[in-house]
Amino acid sequence: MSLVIRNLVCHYGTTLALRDLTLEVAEGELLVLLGPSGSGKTTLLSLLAGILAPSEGEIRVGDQVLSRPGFVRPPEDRHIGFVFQDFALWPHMTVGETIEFPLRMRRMPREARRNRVAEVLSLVHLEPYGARYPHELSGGQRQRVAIARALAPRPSLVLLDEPMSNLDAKLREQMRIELADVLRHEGVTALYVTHDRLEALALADRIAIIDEGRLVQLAPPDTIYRTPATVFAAGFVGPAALIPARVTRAGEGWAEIACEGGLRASVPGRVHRAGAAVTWLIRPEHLRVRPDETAWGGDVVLPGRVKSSTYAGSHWQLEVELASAGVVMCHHDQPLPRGQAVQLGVNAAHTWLIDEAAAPGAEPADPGEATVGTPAAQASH
Amino acid sequence: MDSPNPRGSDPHHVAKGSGERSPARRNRLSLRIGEGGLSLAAALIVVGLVVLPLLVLLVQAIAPNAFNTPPSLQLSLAGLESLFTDPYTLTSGLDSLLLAAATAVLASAIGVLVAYFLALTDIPAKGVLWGVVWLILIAPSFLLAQGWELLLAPGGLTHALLGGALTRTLLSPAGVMLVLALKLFPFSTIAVSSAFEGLGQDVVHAGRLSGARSTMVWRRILLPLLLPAILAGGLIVFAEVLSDFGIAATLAQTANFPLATFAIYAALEQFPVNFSQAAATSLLLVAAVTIAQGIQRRVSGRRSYVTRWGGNQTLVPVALGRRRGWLFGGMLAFFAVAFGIPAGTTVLASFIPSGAGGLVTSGHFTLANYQAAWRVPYGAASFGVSLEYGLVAATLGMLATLIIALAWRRRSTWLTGTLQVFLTTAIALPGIVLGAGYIFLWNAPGVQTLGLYGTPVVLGLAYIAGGLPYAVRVVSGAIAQVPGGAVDAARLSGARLVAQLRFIIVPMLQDTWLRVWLMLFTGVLFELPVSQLLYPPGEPTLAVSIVHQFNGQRFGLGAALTVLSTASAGVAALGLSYGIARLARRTRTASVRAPRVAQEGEAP
Repeated sequence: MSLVIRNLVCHYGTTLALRDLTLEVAEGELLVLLGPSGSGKTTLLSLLAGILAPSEGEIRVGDQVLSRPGFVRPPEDRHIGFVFQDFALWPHMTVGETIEFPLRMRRMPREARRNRVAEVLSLVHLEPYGARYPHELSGGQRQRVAIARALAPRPSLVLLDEPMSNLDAKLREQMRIELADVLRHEGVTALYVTHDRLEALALADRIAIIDEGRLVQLAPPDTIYRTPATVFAAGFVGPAALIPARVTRAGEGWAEIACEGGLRASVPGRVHRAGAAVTWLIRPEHLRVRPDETAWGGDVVLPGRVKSSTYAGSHWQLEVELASAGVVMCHHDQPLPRGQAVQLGVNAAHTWLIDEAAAPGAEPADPGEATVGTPAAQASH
Repeated sequence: MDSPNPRGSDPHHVAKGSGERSPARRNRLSLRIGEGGLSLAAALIVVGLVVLPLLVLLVQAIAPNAFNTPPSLQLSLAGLESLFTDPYTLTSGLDSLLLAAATAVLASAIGVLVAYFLALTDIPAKGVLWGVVWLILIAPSFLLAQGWELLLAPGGLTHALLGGALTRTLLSPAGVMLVLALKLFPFSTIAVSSAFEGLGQDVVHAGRLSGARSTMVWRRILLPLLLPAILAGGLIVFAEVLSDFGIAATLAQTANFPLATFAIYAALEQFPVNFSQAAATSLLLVAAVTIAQGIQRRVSGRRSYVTRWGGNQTLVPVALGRRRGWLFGGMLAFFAVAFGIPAGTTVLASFIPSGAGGLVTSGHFTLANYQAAWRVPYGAASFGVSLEYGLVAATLGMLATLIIALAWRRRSTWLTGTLQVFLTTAIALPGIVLGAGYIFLWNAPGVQTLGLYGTPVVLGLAYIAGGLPYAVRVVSGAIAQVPGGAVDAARLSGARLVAQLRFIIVPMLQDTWLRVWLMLFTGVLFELPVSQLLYPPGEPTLAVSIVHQFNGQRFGLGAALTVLSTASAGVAALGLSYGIARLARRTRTASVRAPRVAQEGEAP
């Protein structure tokens, strides 16, 4: 079932944890809520779970109201699965009993319970572990039990609260793939909270970036990565060169800009007017490095000096101080000496202009774009 | 933890006309009744069992004729004044306070040491040693005091051998303190050993890595972390000494060392009965404990001990090495003195014919006392009576405790706060005062017509009331240890209040329930002061019978009754204690990291 959050506000005393949040998650969609610590992600999850009550606004799943001011459906009546950050497994229950528990609470007949437990155990590859206690499991196995418990009763919505944060990096990568498979297999609507951008980009049908209790942008991962609505979103989803600039001519979907030092370029982006102060976003993978004067074709050329070279396995990461303004990161196949003059070339068509004044708060950058590639999202329109 | 609404209103309020389907509404309604009902039941239990009798007592202290016919509300401060004017009352009050403070210090020192060996070293036969600690804990003070008296009294076992030197040493205020400390140190041991078990190895590692040597780790890290538990244990001992009647009425009397509880008893027994003075002395005791609790709270500060500190790994047991045998021997010797001597004397006396000739004069052993115990009035039948009271009162008390602890965990209002304070201070309530309160309450105009006074019901209720404060304290502490996430996960799995209890909270705290039940049961089995005042005519309880036999100079019979009952209770306690140790082991290894959902620092 789809999840609809309308104008949600939540106060803790005088602290405003969520400000007028509106969000829709379509049936079967995996929406990742991405934001830094203290941004309100966990508050939103607690509101969805019924552990907190909203100050204003409404939460609905399908046509059922879960919360509105003065009414909070208790957690036990919400039919929501929750994967806790620390798993919250019950130490006195075996894996089988843990997974069976929500089914028992929903008065499922014994035979059906047994079948469903077996089915879910196999889904999370824990068939031989049904009789084990949590302390007899590894971290990854505990994680799977927590996921299995949340999915077993076929909930209308599954909430996952940074479920990978207690796993080591390798396990995290593996579980990421498994989790995406499991959630898609079950076709469940899911809201996944994380502050890890790689996790968000890998898992999400759409990503909702929130900061200080506000929705910053809601769009599919590649849209957010390529065309972020704000400087915050641009920096949060990946490494970025962010160069201040001024619009000299505004077109439909592009603009001509001028940077400090006289550099000019024609860049895609939505700007609200000529003369606006904007930020020019260049992702490191789009910058090419030439130590000498070479013909650049149609690329924009940014001269600069190498500040540092750091080995990153597949490439060297160069930090280059631009002659115009700012420091940018770029990839190169070899280290360069500190202080060496370089030319950075970039195809302006791969870059993006961020005009924060043109991105009003929580609205998606482009309603049309927000639905690209998500059958679920289309259903919600 | 369970504060679902940051703004304080009932988050599960059902909006009128919200157009919900009826099954859902019924569910929410039942939940509301469940929560509201729980709070109401908790309040009724505490008010009915503890608050009302105390209020009646307070009224009695300042308006002596309030419950007479016709009632008069004329105030009189004579009782309160007697605290300072009457030399006997004044002395007994001061003696009690000094004795309580000194005993708390001594018992804490012993208790911490024993806790250290039992919780943190590889000393052998821990199960047996824990069994003895529990035996000492459950052994009623009047039995131990009688054991010491059998030994020390003129004509007693040692008197002939040592010419009264030991008698003079121990039948003194210092001796009373020693006997009390040897009886009460288990309170400290239990509190501190749980704290030891709650310490993670990482706090030690962190200290060591910061450059602290072993002694510094103890001084700056472990002791401060243990301090609240040490203080809590000491506070319980303090309160126990103030409330103790068994030793005040026996050993302290023989030592000519008047204590407040005996002063209350004397005021209740004298003619005409001086209820207002008894009530005033009780108020003094309650005030003393309240102040002590305030101090403990200040010292504990705002530190949270809900979660395990320093990782999941418990502290690694200290290897005693070659000293292991010596220390084990020392521990055994200590227990032999604390428990073996009074118990041994009693056992010995039970096999020696009773008579005016004293104990050591008879050269032969006999089973006559045990045979007689089954025939005489105030005999073995009273053990059966007390067993029944114990089973019923402990079970109902456990239920009441659970209701109160849960209601107070889920909802915190000024009312629950007030009742909580009331119940905590009621720990210091001497049984004799509680009994007096029950006499006044159930004889009060109106209540009297219920006709319950003098029946087992009132005695049973008083038993429950007596055990409730401790039980609620222990259970609340244990429930606070259940990680919030575990309960939230159950709620999100669809578990309502009863299911959360049945499947999560109760099984997760199995060892606590057993421990508390055992505490309540043995407390009732050997309860003296309340029983003395409230037992239904012709149906004496065990403690009443034992004291009756001792008062009648039938030492052998009294000792035989004591041995019979304590042996049976001891076997049961050892069994349960073994079970608790096994359960504790299981839950400890099973303690999976599952703390509260992280609030990202945004929670209030």
